[in-house]
Amino acid sequence: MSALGPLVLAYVLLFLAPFVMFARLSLYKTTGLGTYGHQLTLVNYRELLTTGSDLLLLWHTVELCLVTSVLCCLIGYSVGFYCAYSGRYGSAIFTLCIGLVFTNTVVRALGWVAVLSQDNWIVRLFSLGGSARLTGTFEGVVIATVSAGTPLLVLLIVPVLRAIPEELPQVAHSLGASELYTQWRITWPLSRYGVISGGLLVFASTAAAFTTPSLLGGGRVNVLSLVIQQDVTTYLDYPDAAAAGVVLLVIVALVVAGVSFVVGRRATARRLGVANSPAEVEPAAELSISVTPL
Amino acid sequence: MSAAAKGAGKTPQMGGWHLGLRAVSRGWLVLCLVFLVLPLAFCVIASLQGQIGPFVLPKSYSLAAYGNIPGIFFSAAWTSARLALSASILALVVSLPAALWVGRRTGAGSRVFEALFKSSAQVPSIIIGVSLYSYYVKAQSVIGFGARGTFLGLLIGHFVLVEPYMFTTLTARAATLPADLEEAAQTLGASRWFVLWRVQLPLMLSAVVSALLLCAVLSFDDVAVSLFLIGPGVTTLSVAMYSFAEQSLSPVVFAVGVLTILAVFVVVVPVQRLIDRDRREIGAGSRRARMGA
Repeated sequence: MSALGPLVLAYVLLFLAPFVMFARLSLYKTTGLGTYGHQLTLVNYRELLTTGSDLLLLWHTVELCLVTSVLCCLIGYSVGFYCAYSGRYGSAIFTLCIGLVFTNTVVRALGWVAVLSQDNWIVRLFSLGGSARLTGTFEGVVIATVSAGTPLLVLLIVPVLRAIPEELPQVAHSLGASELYTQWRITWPLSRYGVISGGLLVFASTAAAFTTPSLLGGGRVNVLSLVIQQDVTTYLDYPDAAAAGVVLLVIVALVVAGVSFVVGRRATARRLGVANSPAEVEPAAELSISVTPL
Repeated sequence: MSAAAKGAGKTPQMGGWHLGLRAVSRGWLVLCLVFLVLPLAFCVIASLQGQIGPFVLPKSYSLAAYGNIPGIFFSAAWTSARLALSASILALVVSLPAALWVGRRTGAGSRVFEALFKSSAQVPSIIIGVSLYSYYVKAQSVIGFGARGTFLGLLIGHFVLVEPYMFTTLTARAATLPADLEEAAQTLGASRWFVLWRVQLPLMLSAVVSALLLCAVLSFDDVAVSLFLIGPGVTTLSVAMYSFAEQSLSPVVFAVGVLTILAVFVVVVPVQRLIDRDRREIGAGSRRARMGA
């Protein structure tokens, strides 16, 4: 038990206690710059969940995270599939993704600012002939968050795809199945849970991100995490920040739990026992946020 | 069947339609890769600009930005490096015994502890930063000592941020440790410290190195926690870049970004690849041993 002692103490003192105190802050009412009354009240939550502008804020947050995860899954699956099944450039691309994940998000966001803030053909391509610049728009933020989340998804999907026994698609081909059919009926069902798990991870990390929406949104794209940051650093409105934090946490938890529940009820792949051996999986893949595929 | 044996999905292609599909999927792949690399490429380009032009490429190039990097970035980088190292090592020291304890057991009790030790990864990291900030303020008014704005304060924040990743990696490896080696050592009279230091740790070494690397990188790249815990004279590189970029987008901040990218690709990536290869060999070796013995 002494093995666990220090860590338990650390968690209780340095994480749980601050978190509980912070959550309790959300129940106080702001009375001025940096001050708040000490009576318990739900007014912060009521404002956050009923005001029109705040509901729009919540919707923007959820929309950003959803769109990002879906796009990341689409792009990440294609790249991951290539990585897993093609030896030639596959490992080079995998290394590239490792490097991208380890690169600072601020640096990547800055790179996108450099691309999207000028009127050039790349911007024209992305906005399909629309606006002259993509900074300060929702689309610009989506582009940056997708490019930030995709390498992570690739890193999570490749081990899952590699864990599928090679014989299965080969047998399908020898029995006359086309490539598309094999992918749809064999590869996809076996890798589905890894993709969903990765998608949820991207969802959660996009919900937590505020540097990317801040740098690329130019003040016009508002998400919950940005509100928290502004509340604490600029407005000194701690109760509101705390309420926003709790709401953000609840949103992420609900989405993750909801998707896991829906997916878990159709878990037929479980029986096929496609499990990743711990020694081969990237550490991040094991940090499933209450979704353990299989 | 040898063509099919070379890898799933590579059937002998016959017919233009298949070839067309191949070309389309290759094209799509190239587009995706370009999409991923574009921000990095533009960071480089933007750092070299002499003057911003209306087109994709700047009108003139110069390396002046690299010479003009303000000193704050260097001191911030140094702080970030110290922070990454100390937070990772602290997490390692505290997590290793716990990981070894939890790794073997599958009961409900160990599950609870496991959930506890992964809990700080379940919340958005900004909440860790903000809650610690108000915690420090409160501590200052209650016990007179506040870690707000100090290195210690940042260290605590990074520790909480990074610890679940350290714990998960170590636990995954601890779960595959062969128990018979430890039992053999103990029956031969080894003390618990000896077993830890000379038997378990060498077996876990690649996981330890991999986890240290992951945690160091996560700590180095973090903004969400650090932004609220910095103070006068104590700031991290990511926060410095972020604050700078919020005000102006001069080539200097792009130059710092490029240096960061170089550091990642030149240092971190080869180390990570070595670790992965090493871990795969360990995994294969232990499987062989188990099957053979």
